[in-house]
Amino acid sequence: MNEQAAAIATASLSASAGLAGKYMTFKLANEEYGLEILKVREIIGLMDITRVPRTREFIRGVINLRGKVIPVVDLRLKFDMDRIEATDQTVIIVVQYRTEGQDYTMGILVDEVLEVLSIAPDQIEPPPDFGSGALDTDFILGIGKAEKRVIFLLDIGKVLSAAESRNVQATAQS
Amino acid sequence: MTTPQALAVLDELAAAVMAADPSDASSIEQVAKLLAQLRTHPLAQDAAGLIDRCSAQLEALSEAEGDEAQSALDQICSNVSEIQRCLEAAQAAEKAAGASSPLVDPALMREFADGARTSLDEAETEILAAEQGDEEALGMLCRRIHTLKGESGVLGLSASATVCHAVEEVLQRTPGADWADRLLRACDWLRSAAIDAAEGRPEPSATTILHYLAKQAPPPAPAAEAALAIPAAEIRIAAPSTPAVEATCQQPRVERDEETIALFAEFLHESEDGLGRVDQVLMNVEREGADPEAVNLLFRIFHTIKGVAGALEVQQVTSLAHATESMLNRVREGKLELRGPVVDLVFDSTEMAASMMRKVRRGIETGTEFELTEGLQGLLDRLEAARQGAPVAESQPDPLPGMRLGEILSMPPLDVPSAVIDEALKAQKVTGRRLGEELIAQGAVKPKQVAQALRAQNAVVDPSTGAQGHRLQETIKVDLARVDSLVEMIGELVIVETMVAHAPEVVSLTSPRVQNYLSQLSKITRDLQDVGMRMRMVPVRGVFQKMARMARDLGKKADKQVQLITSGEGTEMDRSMVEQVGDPLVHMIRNSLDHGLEPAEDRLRVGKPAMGTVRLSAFHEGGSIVIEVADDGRGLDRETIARKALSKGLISDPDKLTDAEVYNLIFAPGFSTAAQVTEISGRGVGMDVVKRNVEKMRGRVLISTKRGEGTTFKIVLPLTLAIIDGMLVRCGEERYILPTLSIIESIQPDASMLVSFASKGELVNVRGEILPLMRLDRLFVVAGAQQDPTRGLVVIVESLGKKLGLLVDEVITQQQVVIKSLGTGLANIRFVSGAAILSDGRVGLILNMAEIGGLAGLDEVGRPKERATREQFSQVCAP
Repeated sequence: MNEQAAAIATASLSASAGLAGKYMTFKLANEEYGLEILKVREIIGLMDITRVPRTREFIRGVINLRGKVIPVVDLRLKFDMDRIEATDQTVIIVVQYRTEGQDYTMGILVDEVLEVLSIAPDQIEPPPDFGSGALDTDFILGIGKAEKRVIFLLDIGKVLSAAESRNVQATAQS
Repeated sequence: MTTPQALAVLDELAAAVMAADPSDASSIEQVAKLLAQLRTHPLAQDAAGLIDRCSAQLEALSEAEGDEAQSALDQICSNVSEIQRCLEAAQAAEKAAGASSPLVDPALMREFADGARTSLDEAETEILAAEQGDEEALGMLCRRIHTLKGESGVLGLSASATVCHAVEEVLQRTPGADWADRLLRACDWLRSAAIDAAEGRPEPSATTILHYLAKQAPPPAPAAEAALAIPAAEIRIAAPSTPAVEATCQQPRVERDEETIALFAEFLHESEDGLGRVDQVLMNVEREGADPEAVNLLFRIFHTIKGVAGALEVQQVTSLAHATESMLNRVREGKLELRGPVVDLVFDSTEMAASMMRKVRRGIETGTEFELTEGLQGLLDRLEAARQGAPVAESQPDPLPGMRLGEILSMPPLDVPSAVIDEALKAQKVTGRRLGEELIAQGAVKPKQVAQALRAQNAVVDPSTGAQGHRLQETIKVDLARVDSLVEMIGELVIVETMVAHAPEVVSLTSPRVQNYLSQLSKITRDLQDVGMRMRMVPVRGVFQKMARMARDLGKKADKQVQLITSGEGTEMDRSMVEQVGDPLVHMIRNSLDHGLEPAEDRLRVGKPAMGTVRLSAFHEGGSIVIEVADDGRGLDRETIARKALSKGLISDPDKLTDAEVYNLIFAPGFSTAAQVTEISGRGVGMDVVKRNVEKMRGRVLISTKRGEGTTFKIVLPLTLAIIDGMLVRCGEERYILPTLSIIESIQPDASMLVSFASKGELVNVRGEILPLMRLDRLFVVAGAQQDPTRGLVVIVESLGKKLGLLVDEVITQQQVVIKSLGTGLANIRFVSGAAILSDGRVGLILNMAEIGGLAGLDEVGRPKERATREQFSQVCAP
């Protein structure tokens, strides 16, 4: 595990130049996160979400995106943060990404969208190491620094594919 | 010789070396010949050296004896494989170098593969017919394989061309015992080769199939006696370069680079296509008279051919196309009428052009000069004369009042055998084509002959009755993904349309104009939906053809005489369903052949013909599609099934069950009445698969049987998979869709109907039938649902033969919904089969009744199932 983390760290260090670019930033509680802009398809206001039974809690359900049914993940719950009531700032960011040869379109529910930020290579640091098992940092691409803010740059494919595999496991166990 | 060709020769060489016998001079000769052939390829330095070494060893071999000879052969063998390696490396290098400019356009290759696969499907049917002595089919088959050979050769698929050639050889022999088997095997090989080609893979090795085709040949027919003297001759027949060698004697060799060959390939493809169209157009002109559009079309086709042929410097084609075009131009200007003899002239030039194309094709394939077609000048003169307005000699048959086309055709001067016409008339009923078209399609007559006959017929028939508004059916090939996305978008449109029409703001509008617009919008949307659905429909023909082949193979295996009669192949179904229905059909036909039909002696004993018949038909019935498999075998035996079910513990009291219930037992997993498991069936898996697959498509299987007379299985399927009839139910705050197909009834139970079982499970007593009661709110953990069953609604559902009551709050409405997937991230949610967008724009989930039914833990006759599901059952049903 440590080895793996170290390997990822080195890889990210050398790849931090590749991570530079535009990020869409959003807020969960008081923390700031960034999504690669190319993976963001659109931002939509909160709408009726149909709950899907017997799935993990962070899967809020499915919505009708102009005739297409897409799942919505509550990122707060995914990250084991407290659930809050939706505010008028709450939005769904529709992301589109590709893992293992399959295209995914999903909505992620976040507290508030902030801005689109250009992050230069020298503003990016490798993901933190919280020690083995303490916290899973697999899906953090790196940490961006802009002015005094710290932004966690997410590999959304990893965040959500982890979501999916756990969901499948959970269903299989039930 | 191209590298792939060389590799094919090499394959053969390897086989020949293996088969070579030092004591048999002819086999050695064969090896030498192949080696010589290989030398014509510009080989890599190493490989050339190896070939020289092989030749030397071969010479030494003729002097050596016994073990020495054998070891020399072994050496040659290893050298040959060395050459193979060299060449493969060379080919890989060639590929890498030519990656930017592929030899053949991949799109062309795909088109070829598409065509080849369809053609091979047809070929299988023809092989089966030919085996029964159908001469027509044999003729068609020969032509088909020949075309395929030509096309593969042009596209550089030398192994396919070689196999086709070998198949042609087989076709010329008298059908023997395994004649059809070998042809069918070859079809399989060709099909997989076509798929490989389309996907850009190199061709598979043809060595095995060629051996199979050539080696196991039955003793040759007397005519081929000469070949008997040389045992290896059959292998040589299969060699691709044999025609080339022959042709070289007559025609000087011509070197053409790959690019030119590719150009020719395209030219041939387009021209042959175009000439085919000309025939069709002319037939139409004959029937309905010329219209400017038809003339323009003809003009354009010849113009294109002229242009391309000119660029490729195919002199004869150019001048023929030019003369025809000039004459047609006169027609276009209105100075010449396109009818009677003029039409004949166009037919003549089409025919000649087609024969020129064949020669061009042969020239390309063999790398030789194009053979010249005779009689061109005569035709050119006639065309020129027609262009200048000279009356054209008419060879019109006498008007034949009131006669049918078939009769005219069978009379002089056309003299088509009446057997052929009868056959075509029969085929016509199936294909729905006109007699003339049918005859041409079968290759029995030439388009021109039909045209003359039609003319004779129309000479007396009032022209207006002859014109039935028959237009050419034109098709285009469209990427399936595009059709799917169109259908999906139409689906969205339908939903949005419903949403708009039902929006309270719109409903409250009283303006008649708006209402009018809305209803128009609604109508157009429905029509569009209809068209969209139909775009995905394909005929079941393909699947049926496969079944015919399988029935034949199985019949042989089971040693039964079987004929499979298919009808309604043109019935259209959703494309995805056609694919899914294949599996169940395989099992049903296996079942019918193995269990349904008796052995020949038993059949004769009860006065049935020895040949068993299985009828496979497809048709529409009341908004559903029905596929029927009917055999004239022994029928199902109620007693045997009941006894078996009793011994397996599936039922407790057979007397209580109706016939239908007993027959349905054959669908139970692992159920088989077969005394022994044969290669074909008897494991009790088949019918279980049938039922499952059909239910997956939301269809049903019905059985009707009569002892001693046969059994009929009827698969009833919905028209499309994209839409289902659903019942929208409410449970707490949530709404779900239950597929109507699995709903039997819904009841509002009173307290007396509710029973609980050891305080663990709830049951509901519906008119004496005790069914488990499942609460949807507990299954899906929904808050705020009605807890008192007497105030809710119990929907009795059935799936996979299991019944249960599902407690919901209320039924909202019944409606058709378009099925959507839950999205890529959420594919496998238990108890949910998909989603649908409801009229308010929200998503509703469609319940998977098969999975929910599985929870009931009771099989069709009320016995508890395995423990695992029972636990789930009590978990969900616990009060």
